[in-house]
Amino acid sequence: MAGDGCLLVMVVDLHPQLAEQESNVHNYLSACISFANIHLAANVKNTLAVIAANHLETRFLYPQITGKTVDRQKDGRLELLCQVDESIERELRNMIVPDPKADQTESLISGAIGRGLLYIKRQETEDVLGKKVHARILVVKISLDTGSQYLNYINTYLTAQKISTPLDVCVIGSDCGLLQQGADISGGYYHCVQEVSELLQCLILMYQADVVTRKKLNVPPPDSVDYRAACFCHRTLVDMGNVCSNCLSVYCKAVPLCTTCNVIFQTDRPLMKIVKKKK
Amino acid sequence: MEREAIQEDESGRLEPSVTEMIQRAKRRRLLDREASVRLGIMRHVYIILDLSQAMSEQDLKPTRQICTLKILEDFIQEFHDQNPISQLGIITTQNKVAKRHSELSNNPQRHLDCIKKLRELPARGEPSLQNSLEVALSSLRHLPPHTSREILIIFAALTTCDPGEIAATLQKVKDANIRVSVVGLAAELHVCKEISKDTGGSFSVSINDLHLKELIHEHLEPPPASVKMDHTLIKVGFPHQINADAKPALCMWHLFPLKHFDEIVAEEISTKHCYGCLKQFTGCTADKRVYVCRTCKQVFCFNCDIFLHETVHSCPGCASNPTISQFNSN
Repeated sequence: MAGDGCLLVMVVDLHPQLAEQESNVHNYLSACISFANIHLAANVKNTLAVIAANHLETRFLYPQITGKTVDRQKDGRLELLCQVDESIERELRNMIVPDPKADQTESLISGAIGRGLLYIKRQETEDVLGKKVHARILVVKISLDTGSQYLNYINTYLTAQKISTPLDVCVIGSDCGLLQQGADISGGYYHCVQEVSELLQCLILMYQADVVTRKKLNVPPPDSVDYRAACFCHRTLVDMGNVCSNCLSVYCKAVPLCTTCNVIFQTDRPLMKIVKKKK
Repeated sequence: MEREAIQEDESGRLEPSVTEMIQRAKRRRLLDREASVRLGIMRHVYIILDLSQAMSEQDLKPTRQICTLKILEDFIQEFHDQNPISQLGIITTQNKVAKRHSELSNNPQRHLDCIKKLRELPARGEPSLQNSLEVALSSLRHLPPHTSREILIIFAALTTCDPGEIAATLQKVKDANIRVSVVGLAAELHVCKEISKDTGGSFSVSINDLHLKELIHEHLEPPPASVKMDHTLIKVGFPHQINADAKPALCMWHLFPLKHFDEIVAEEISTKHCYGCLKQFTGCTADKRVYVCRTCKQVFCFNCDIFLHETVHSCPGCASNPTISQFNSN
């Protein structure tokens, strides 16, 4: 394992709400870039992809489509690291836009995770020797969650689970239940840090180890994951819900008609049938 | 694949022609799936496995029995993966009787243990279609009316030894709204064909082991729901927390399938790389055709197209577009 190297796909949130504090932006970005550097420097065979998401688009920061040649070594740094930094920095400048109207929006993280999965899949198919690519995804998220991407998230989680790729999640500020489910389903870590200044430390301590090494390390005990579903009528979390047998929509009260798939429920008839048969 | 269909290209190589054929076949399978059909996703399926003398034939290697059980092992795993709220059960028939080996349950391990035991069981005697249908019927008829009830018969013998009139059993099966499909290992049997036709199931006969696997795996996809199915509200409890071993199972993609992408010749568009995996379209055979999502107009390569439709079930291009992802959620 140690010799094989590992592919890290970082999904970095670049929501405009990040820019509310000038110092935050700097700390946040340098933490992400440093972590990318650490990953590459840890093993020659390690590879990296960085995808950024804001409320308008998702974008590959590294690698670039046009594979630029490695520059000559500057000030004694590894060429690869230099290239990574330049590439990320260049794309970041194009992507960070101040948008005062963006308050109510969330970043398109699920799209970025989806692209990451496709990228991992391609690395797997292109590997001539048919070696298993040890890949993992790390999501760094700062913006709020509105639940509008629910379906896309769930689809990406199940895919990650299927191709056995852990999805690590590090959120800053408030907890994000949806991403927590993702980490739990795919076997990754979930952690929430309070301040941007803690980010780099947390990334290095918790997320740097590869999957095999992790088994030998102790992590902070995981929080319990809330798996309650939100009902389709009032968007409240329910303990006991009524589920449509046709489309699996969740309702908090018994309703005569499913608003999602328009079927009419036979409220008493089937129950009667069963009771009769039992007698 | 027919030998004549393979053609050499200008430089005399066969590989491009073969690549194209493989791509065609994969995509055809995708397109066959009809979107927007109401599916019965809460399935209760009994597999009726013939373990009569005929299963010890060696036309499938090493024997029909071992080969079929191996295929069923894969099938059971996949079935529970793709149909998390469905249940399977296994019934075997030999020596003119039918026996239930594993009850309906959604625990794959139990069925796999059962399959392991069946390997040791010697195949002997004659099978009985009627008896096995009756056994399946006895537990399927009591299920709530909103579920999809199915029987999958894997039949190797050319005879069946029944205690009474099979037409009566068939009528009962029909009344209970059970869909019976038959996969034959030897030859087409009239009675099997009748049963599957009458109950809306499928009937097929395998020609070799690969074909058999394909035929059995066709039953992984939930079938279109029967019109006679009732709809009810089911009370479901949602856990505040679950222990780490019990993974939540979801089957959303049957509800919101991803629409097919349009196939376009790569030279006709300006985009020269795949939106998903950044692969550059170099003009080799594999990249001759690219695929465009109808909603977000992003371009994907062949592998990504297949992967998105078979596994992911949502388009990252649409998910990366604020207008579309907002619209979809409402």
